[in-house]
Amino acid sequence: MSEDGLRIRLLGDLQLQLHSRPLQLPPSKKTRALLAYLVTTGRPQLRERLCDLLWEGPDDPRGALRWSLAKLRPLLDVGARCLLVADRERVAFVQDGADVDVSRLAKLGAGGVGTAAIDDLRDAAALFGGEFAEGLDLPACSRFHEWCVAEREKWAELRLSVLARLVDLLADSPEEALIHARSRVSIDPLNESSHLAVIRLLATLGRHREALRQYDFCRQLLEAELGARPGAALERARATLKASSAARAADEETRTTKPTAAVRISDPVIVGRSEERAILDAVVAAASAAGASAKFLLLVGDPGIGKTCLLRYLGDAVVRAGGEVLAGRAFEAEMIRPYGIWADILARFSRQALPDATRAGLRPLLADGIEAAPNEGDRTRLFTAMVSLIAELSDRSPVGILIDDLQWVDDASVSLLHYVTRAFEGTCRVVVAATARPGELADNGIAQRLVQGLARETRLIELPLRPLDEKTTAALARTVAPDLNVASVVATSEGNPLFTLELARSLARGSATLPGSIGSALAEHLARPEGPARAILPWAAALGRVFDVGVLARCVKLTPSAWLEALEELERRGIIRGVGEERYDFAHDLIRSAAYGQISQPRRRLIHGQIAQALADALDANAGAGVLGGELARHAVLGGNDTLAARGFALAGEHSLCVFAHNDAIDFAERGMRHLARVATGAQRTRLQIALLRIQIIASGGNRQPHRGDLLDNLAAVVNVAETSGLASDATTGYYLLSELHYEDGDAAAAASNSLRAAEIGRGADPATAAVQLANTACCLLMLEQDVSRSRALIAEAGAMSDRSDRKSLWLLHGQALLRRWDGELDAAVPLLEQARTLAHRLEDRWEECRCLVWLTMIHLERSDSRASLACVDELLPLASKMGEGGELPFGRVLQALVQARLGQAGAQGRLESALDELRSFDSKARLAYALNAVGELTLADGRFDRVREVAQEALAAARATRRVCEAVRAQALLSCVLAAQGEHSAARACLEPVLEHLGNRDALSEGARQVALRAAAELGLCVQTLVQTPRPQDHT
Amino acid sequence: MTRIIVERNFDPPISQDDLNACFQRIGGCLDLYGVRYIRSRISTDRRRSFCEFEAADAQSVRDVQSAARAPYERVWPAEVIGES
Repeated sequence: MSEDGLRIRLLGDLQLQLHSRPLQLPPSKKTRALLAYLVTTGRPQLRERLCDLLWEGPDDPRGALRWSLAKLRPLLDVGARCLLVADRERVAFVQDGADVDVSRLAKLGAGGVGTAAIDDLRDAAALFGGEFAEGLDLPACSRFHEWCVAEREKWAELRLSVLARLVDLLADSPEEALIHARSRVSIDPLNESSHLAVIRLLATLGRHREALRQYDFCRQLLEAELGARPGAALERARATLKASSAARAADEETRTTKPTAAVRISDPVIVGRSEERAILDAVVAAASAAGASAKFLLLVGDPGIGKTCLLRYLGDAVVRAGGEVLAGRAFEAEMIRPYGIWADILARFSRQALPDATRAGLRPLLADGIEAAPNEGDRTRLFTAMVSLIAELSDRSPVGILIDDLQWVDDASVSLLHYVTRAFEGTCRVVVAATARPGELADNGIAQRLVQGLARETRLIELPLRPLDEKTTAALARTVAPDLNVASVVATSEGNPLFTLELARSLARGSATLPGSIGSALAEHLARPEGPARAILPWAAALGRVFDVGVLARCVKLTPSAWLEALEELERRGIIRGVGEERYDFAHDLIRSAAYGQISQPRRRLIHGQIAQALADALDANAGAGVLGGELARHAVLGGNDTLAARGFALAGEHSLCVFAHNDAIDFAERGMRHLARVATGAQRTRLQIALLRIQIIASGGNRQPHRGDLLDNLAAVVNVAETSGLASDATTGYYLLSELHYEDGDAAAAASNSLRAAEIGRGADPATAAVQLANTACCLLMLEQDVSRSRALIAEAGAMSDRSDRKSLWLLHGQALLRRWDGELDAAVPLLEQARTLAHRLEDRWEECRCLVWLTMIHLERSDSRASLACVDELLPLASKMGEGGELPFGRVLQALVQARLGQAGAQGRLESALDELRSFDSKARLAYALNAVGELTLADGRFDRVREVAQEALAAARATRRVCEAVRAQALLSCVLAAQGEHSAARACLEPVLEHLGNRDALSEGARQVALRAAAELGLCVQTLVQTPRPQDHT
Repeated sequence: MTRIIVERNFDPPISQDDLNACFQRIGGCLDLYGVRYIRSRISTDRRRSFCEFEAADAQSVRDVQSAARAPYERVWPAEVIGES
């Protein structure tokens, strides 16, 4: 290996060295990821493929690729040639003598680890500086992510093989073997043999107490993560250790060990930065006086440089000036949560604190669970409402809008931030400030454009934070311990505040040697927790943001006391801090990254998979309020669960629709579809397909032309599958969507057809529900006097289903009663209706109770049982008066007056006329027809033919308008009787004859109407063949 | 056929999901009762709505609401003014 020339290290943090000097890498993650990809694949790649890999989305991917290549070219320019070769079509990395770690290891792997020489294995172990492409996690770039995960697994497997072989070969050198054995445990902690090797080596070295601690750690880990107990080999090793008299010597060993000083970590304080603080104070003063136009403050700097501390200082300054702070923090893991930071900002406001108009506009972002419709124009309402809120807050005192980690803010949030910044361009009391990591901001195109636009308009104040000078660094270190000898801290930390504090704490704990990098300092810090604290650390890191103890508890099984102990220890060590009730965050994102970096790739997959399953289980148990689809999708993607990933993307897409982030919704739907392509066919896949297509269709709105054919075809195919699979609810959704698409195409017939089909199958749910629906439809048909033969069949079918489920339904009783009435079996209808009414009362279904009472009143009237009729209507009226229009109060009053008139009660006629007028105003023509026919039949007996003719004609018109055949026949029969009574026999016959042809079909006319027609025909002396009564078979169920 | 208006009030304001479910149920009953749906208007605070149908009479529309378990305040026949 040459010390000159280019060296590239991909295992661990990406590093480039030229002539043994490290090269400054581009800060952009995607640029570094591109380099890793080109170097590892080692062959020409199409530009289009590289764009798909790293730059999905509507921005200019080719332009972004060109920009990244321009950043990489100077690094790969070695002497006479450049190792980056590119033309219009392809880009390639040409190794040409460069020393690449993965290339060397690939040769070892090809030759076989089992036959490699021990020195080669030692060199190989040394090459593994960490996992492949450490820190280059880009979960939003799914194709790169999948490739990176596969590479990590491959190199981790090789590393494990190398370490295992070294442990075997170094049996005679247990100290050296132990180093490799511990490395093996750190990579694959769930492998018992890794722990066993460590325990045996420690026992060999006489370190029995440590060996027993190693056993305890393994046992707790297996129990917490796999719910498993240690195997026989581990138990034997433990038993041997326990029995050994050397354990007593090990006790002596630990008693003489120098105790480490306990260092309580407190919140960081600002030391120095006087120039920056002066600028922030001036900005707040100007805002308080509303004497200057709003500027956008951007604090930029490397991780750990103190950006968040200064942002907090700015917030405190706003509060001291009597103002309000709206603060939000973005997380890398949450970039797929539209308007995430704004929702977090609004979470601090109670609903009551917001004015009504503002609350209505902001509803999509409020945590009250009421979502707005995703209509065009509502996005503007949301934006306007936010500006109104800020304007109101800043009316008399300054408002600080503080955004931490702008490079991770989602597109929708940046758009709203842009809108707010524009809205307060003039003199106002609004201060907008954000922090950002400079290189990573370039990976967020929309945030980058916001900043560039503000710079062009001279509205940007950029505050780059430089490393602290030596004096300030020393002062910061002494905040940990005043009498600390800080010289080595100052020398090593190079002015990075976070690194300074970590080093100072390490020194205060009594460490003999200081870590050489911030990474090693954090690794040392994270190695200190033990027991339950150590067990939950990887899970907390994997959650990737402010984490809820409740979510953690679903994944890690600990006793309540163990939880308290773990959280207290992590807080005490300054690894996490509380941010609310049962919510914690890592003290710094670098700490979280370091903790996550310590998790091996296979273990990460396991952890993310379990978190995803826990989130999905919470959703299924209706305990998942607040579970975000994006969160579920992220963990499922990283955990390799395509079904849950598709489900998460569907949820995220639905949420995006509700907050009008339509581009995000389409993106989520497409990503969900890609995962769904790998899910086996079945009900779950069909459901998710329809859900994702629905999101695509709604989010696309009117912009569907290029993909319309595909969408229609895909949707039609999957809806067909849903219907044949019995997924009624999903098929219903699909048909309604098809209906909408056809409607937009102007195909009304297809639209209506699909809509009806949706309604039809929408009723086909479980058997009990289906029975109710069938009986319901039968009742409707009988009430409408239509398709009675079908209603018979429906009642028979519903009756059979109800018997199977051993449950009589309200609608079934109702339907059976109406069928009896239709067939003239009035006495049999009454008890059925009374049962139905009792059931309706018990079910507190007042509408249905009113209907039953109406029918009972009518049937008793038809039975000529006036007293029973009156009793029913006396119950009906008070109930109907509470029901509003649905209670049929006007018809009830008519029935009451009718019965009273029949009984010859004084004043009944007048009340009847008033009630009829009311019924006319109520526009209930079918009821009016019935009532007028009843009045006509009553009046006919009195011989008031003009009155009868008048009401019968009105009844006929009303019956025909509402297609009530029976009432029309009754009216015609009445008219015929009047005409006959007045000597107009021809006219009477002409009036009745059209009716007579239906008399033979028992399903065409009710028995009541039939009898009225027969009596009228008999009066006229008409001979009707079909008038011979035939016995009706008993087919009621 | 007559234009019929259905007035509804919602307290608390109705969510889009509940509104969709209500309309789905109503849609399933229209053909049966000879009622044609025309359009709906909902207030921006989502507390009031007007639905317009075409039917033989107001009672047909009331029957549809009842069958669909769609609550309402009033149903009344209307004359259309100003529609092109």
